[in-house]
Amino acid sequence: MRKVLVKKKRYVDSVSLMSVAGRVNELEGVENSEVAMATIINQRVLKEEGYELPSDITPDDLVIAVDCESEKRCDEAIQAAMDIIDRKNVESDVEFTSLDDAELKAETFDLCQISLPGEYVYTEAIKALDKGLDLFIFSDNVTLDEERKIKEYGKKKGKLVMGPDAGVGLINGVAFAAGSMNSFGPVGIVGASGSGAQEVACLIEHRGLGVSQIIGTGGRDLYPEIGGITMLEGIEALEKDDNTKVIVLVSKLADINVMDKVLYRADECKKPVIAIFLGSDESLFEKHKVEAAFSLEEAGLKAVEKITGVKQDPQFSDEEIKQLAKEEVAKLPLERKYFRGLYCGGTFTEEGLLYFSRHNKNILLHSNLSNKYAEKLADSHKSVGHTILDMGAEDFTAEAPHPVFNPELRLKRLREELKDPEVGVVLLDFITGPGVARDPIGSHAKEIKKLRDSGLPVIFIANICGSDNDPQNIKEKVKLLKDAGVIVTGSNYESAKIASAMMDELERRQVNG
Amino acid sequence: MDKKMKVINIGISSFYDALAEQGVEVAQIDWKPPVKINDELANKVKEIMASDFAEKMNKANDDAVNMLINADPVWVGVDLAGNVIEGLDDYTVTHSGPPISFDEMVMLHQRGMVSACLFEGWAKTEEEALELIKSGKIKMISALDTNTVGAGTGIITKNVAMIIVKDRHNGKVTATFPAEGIKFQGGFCGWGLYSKEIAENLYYMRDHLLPPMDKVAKNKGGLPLKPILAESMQMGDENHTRQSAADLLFEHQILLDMAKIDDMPRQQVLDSMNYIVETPRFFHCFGQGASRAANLGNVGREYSTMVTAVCGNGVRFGIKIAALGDEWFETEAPYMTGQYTSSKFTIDDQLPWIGDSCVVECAGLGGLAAAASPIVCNLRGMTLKEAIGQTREMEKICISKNYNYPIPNLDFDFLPSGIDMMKVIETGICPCIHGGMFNKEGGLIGAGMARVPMECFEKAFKAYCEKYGL
Repeated sequence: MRKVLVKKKRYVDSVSLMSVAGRVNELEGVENSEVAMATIINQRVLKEEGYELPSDITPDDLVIAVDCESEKRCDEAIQAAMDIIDRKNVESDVEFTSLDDAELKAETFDLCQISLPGEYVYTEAIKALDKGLDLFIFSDNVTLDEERKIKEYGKKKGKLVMGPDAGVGLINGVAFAAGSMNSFGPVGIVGASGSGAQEVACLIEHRGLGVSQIIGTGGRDLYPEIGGITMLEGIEALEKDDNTKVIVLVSKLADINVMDKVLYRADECKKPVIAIFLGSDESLFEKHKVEAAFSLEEAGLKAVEKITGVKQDPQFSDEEIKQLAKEEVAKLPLERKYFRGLYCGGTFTEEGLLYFSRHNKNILLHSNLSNKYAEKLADSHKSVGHTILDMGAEDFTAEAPHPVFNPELRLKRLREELKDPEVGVVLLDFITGPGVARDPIGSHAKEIKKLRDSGLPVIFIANICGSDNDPQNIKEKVKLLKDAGVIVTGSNYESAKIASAMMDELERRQVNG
Repeated sequence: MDKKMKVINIGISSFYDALAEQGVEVAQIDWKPPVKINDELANKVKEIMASDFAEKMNKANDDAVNMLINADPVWVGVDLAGNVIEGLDDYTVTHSGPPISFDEMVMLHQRGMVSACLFEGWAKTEEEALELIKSGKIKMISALDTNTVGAGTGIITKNVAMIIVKDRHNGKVTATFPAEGIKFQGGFCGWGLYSKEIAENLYYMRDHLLPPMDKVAKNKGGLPLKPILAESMQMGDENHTRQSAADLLFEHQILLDMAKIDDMPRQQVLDSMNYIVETPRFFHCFGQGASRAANLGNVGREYSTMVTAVCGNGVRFGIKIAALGDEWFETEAPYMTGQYTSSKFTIDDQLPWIGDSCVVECAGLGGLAAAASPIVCNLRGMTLKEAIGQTREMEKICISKNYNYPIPNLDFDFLPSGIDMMKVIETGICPCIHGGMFNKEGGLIGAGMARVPMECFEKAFKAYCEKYGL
């Protein structure tokens, strides 16, 4: 519908007006808009476009004409145009063009966060270190050679270099990139896996404690070419940090020599250290004093135990999980026989796959990832049997924004999966924080509720890796999920345990008929 | 933990928002990718600059830029194009941009050629005009190969009345086409439209609107344009996309004199005054004439690497370098980025760069003068600081500064002048040019900016090296 607002005798320079309509057109539900002085020519143009103008309109009047899907959208669009014209919500922040900008006084800052295309990172990173700033580098696609040089230079300058490819960090109470705003507490974390480190931090927070720092090293810090420079620096920093009582090291399985080097350094640490190298077995820790963990959940709970001295149990006991799986799966029609894990966290996908491959040994798993845990899908866009997807992997993010930053991609896949009459169980992980999608959970919960209300017999399992302090308000979102009939677990590991038990049930039913 | 973090964010702006939301003191850097430099050519430039040859080149460039700085453009009157433009004889039509054949031309130019034949009476019908053009009888010349400027489509024939500007410093005379008035924003000389009414208007301008102006110019003994340009640059114009101040200053100079005309019909004088006042950006053609006249004094200046012309024909974009005379160095015409006049337009409606009006950039106005006109830059969403940044960037590729243009936003520092091919190649910075966006179907649909493509400079540089055995 079309709506026209005329501001009598309101003059705005035509040049200033030219950009207003373009910005209004970007708003949701706006088909077209024109914002102009009502000159004779403009009146003609507006009439040609089908807008009705009041008969007393004169060239001295400002006219805002909008064509939107609803009256409400029209009003919003008109308001938005007026806000732009009246310069409401305009940040008067000075923008700077480079670190060298004299007015910026870069030297007076503490840290520089970089999220540029990889090829440009090196130059800016060195510049920032020269200005005496710590670094948090979110960018990927930095060459290993450049990464090593940046990290060595940082070490020489006594500066912390987090990343490249660091997804999560919490430094002096400030969350970076996709990180959560975890409460302050006695556990310090150094993580080569961003989501892994955040999962540990959130588990600790949900048990009433908090974290001192989360130092994200970047995903390749434990490659032989880098040699764990940042992880070693991170251990050093946390060892000196008075607020840190216990240290947790989080990584995926990495180069054996580098892991050993890190563990030797950790052995010498004056503070208790818990380490997890997701996918490793006990032999890795044989020669070391460091306490080993084999799931993110275990790492988090052990850290809490170290501080409180009280044994920590997962939310669901093994017996409860078995019972839950049995009861829920029994409600599904027999033809619903497959599991679909739609992950957006890379480490969470891996932790899930790892668990399933160890506990559902005779079940064939499919995945878009190539690894020893599952068969690679011929087409990532088509699930087969039991499928576990890392939707943050390149085969998906090449087409659309990463689902952690924009839920659309996974929502679309979820709708597709639910059209498959053989799907019985769906797993979702959620990541919250000030730097990620504003409402990843609500959008999924709404979709699930709609489908369940229409009688769709599918089991949903979900967990949220996030802090209660995050702007997404996860307490409320847990309620939304539960209202939609979703089983909300305490950790990614627990989600995997439940999914695994359900897969067993699904298979058993097929065998028993 | 006690210390409040201060963070600089380079990159994704939502990360800036996330930090600000946490109450962190955060500065966002509006980062742009570094310019790409052709190392081989850039090294060659450095080599030349370090050689004995540089002395001759620098001297020539000083002379060239002084031709701009010392320019003394004066509006001397109105005359028929055929009387002033060199080579504009019968059956000759100028067009904008580097030379191009009829078959290669964009529709606007083709239609302009046909319109020109009808206007001059060389053909009675469109079919006849097309036949005439295809027979090869119509000579098509690039406006910037002679002493005019092809603004828009630049279609000009001998019977079109033009504004005549003479540069008293170098003696060069140019003729530029005056805007056609508010009802005819689309005449064939400018924006590539044609109709019987538009043609009649061209005669009306020649016979009715422009004679009183000619009289005033002659009565005044010529109107110096430099003071108007200089003052308007301090009042928010960059004199390419915006002439709001220049229009007023110009009118202030002539309207009283027009009112005093006593040997012409009263109504004619009033119509003429009305035409001047009503036409937006009326002064544009004067600025173009002044810029072109100054640059004509540099065409063929031995050793000088200064750019004397940049323009497009909707297909190709071309530049000229002082020492290389009238040789063109061309590549594909770029698209402009900016704002459309109506949100119904998109890039699909837009024609690649067409028009010669960036002769004004060659004289240090327009894109080089962004700092003088933040309001024009704001069209493209730029802040004052970014507008200043654009001029500061242009300084890096200019020979000198022009003390005629002290700019308040630059704390009265002077605008850069004289684009130097050598500096463009050495720095990788391409000149910013402002201009109007054209609809493929004709008509002006927006305003914005483009960069002169680097390929033009690379080709010109190679030709320069060849010419001087470098």
